Amino acid sequence: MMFFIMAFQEISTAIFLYRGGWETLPIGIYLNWHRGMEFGIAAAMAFLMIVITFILLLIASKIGGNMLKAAWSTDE
Amino acid sequence: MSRGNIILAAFLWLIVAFFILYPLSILLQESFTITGTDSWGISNYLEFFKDTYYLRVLGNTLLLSMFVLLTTTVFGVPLAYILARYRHRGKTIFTALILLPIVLPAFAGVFAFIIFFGKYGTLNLLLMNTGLIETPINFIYGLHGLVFVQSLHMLPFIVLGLSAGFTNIDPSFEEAAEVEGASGFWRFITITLPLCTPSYLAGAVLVFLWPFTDWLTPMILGQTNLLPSVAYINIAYHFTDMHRKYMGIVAVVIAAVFCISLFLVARWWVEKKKYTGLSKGTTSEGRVIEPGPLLKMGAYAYLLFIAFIVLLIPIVLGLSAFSRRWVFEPFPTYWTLENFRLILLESPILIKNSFLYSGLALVFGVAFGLPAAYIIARSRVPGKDALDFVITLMLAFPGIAVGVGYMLAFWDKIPLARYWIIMPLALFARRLPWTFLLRRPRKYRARADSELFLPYRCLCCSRACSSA
Repeated sequence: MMFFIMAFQEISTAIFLYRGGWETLPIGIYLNWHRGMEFGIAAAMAFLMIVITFILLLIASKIGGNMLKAAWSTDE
Repeated sequence: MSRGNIILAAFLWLIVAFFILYPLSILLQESFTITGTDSWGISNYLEFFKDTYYLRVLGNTLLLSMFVLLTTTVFGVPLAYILARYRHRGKTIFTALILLPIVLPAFAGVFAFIIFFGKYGTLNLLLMNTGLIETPINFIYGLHGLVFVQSLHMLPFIVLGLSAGFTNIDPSFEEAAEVEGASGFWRFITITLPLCTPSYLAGAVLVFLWPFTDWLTPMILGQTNLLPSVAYINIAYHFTDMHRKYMGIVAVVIAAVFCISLFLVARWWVEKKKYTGLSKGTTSEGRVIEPGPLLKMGAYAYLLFIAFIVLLIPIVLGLSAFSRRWVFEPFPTYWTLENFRLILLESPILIKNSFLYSGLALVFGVAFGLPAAYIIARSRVPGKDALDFVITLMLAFPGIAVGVGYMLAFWDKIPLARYWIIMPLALFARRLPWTFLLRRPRKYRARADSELFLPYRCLCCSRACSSA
């Protein structure tokens, strides 16, 4: 689960490799900030990512005990 | 040793060679290429170390690293101590909150803090409305803001390592010191802290290396004279100017080499300490103190303060996400779902891609991690330690180096980067050590094994006791 979350947030690797149509959420956030137009959209995307992360952790904690355990242990 | 194991190990090595060693070797090769020719030489590196600009950049990055480490340590030590030692309510929730930044993306924090602490952000506007200040204070743009944002992001690493250290210390050592007369603060400085050094160091390395990896936070905060940001700008914006591109690659390689060497030194040091250990004699909970009322209040206030700053990230982003034109006002006034509508309408593909690539990376990760874990833990195939070593090393490797390496390696000769599959593959390679969590969950988690700091006990205690 931690692996998925980490991959989900990865930007420094992805930023060099993405091309049109391959953008991920972090790249979308970066592009929105970079164009300087819609801060709100970047914020909304970041918020969306946080929410998704939380949902993932919640699912994991339902399966594997409490929230902390879900984030830090990975014996799936 | 069966033949199957050897074939499996060979297959794993093939994957490592193709997806890690090959791109990195290309990266290294490119850094030696002299602009405009096919020949190699160290002229790029000579230029880097002669140019005062690049040297200043390197110095800045080191300075930032030190500031970040200092800040996380100053805030992390009391935090870890409170979390590990004091008996208080809401321990779980506070621990969860303080560890939260790890699972939040680094840039989420930057955006939230810009909205809150920015020139016309909430805090400044509130202060100006109450008449406390005339002109906005620059809280965030600049080195101090960068130190703040990066420290908050890395704080969990220090806290995790240290609180594990505090919990695992054999209580008898502290009791012995107490009996001998070393009390309170003195005991903490002379015994408790030294006992935790290895577990602290394990986290501290990751903290120190972060400014060498993170290029985005400095860029957002307008601090581009740092090594990873310079590398990124050189490579991403100057692809027409081949020389600047090569200098960018040199910067990436230097950052990577620095990260890896420091990581190895720290690892060697911690391992060395580990092997001289004694038997383990701790209780499961460690030593828990019931603090006095005043101390308890202070501890709560401190916990609340840190938790508040961490919680600012999701709260501010949430406010911003549901509002529109939130400028020059301390709090948003106009609520809307427009932002989400736009995301879902115009770019649902981002969400789909994120899930697809991360999901595929996870599949690769499990497909690689399980056999690798089996080979390393259970078999006696020659070279398995080297495999372990390479994978662990990726923990310290800057993401920007992986990205650039992939970009260079999989374009011309092996045109993998022309297909979208490169994205999950790169994510998989980048997070390779995390797949290893499958094998030894404790070791890579904050690297705070209890045995890591056992040896220090005897020495420090005898010294502290005699000095007391």
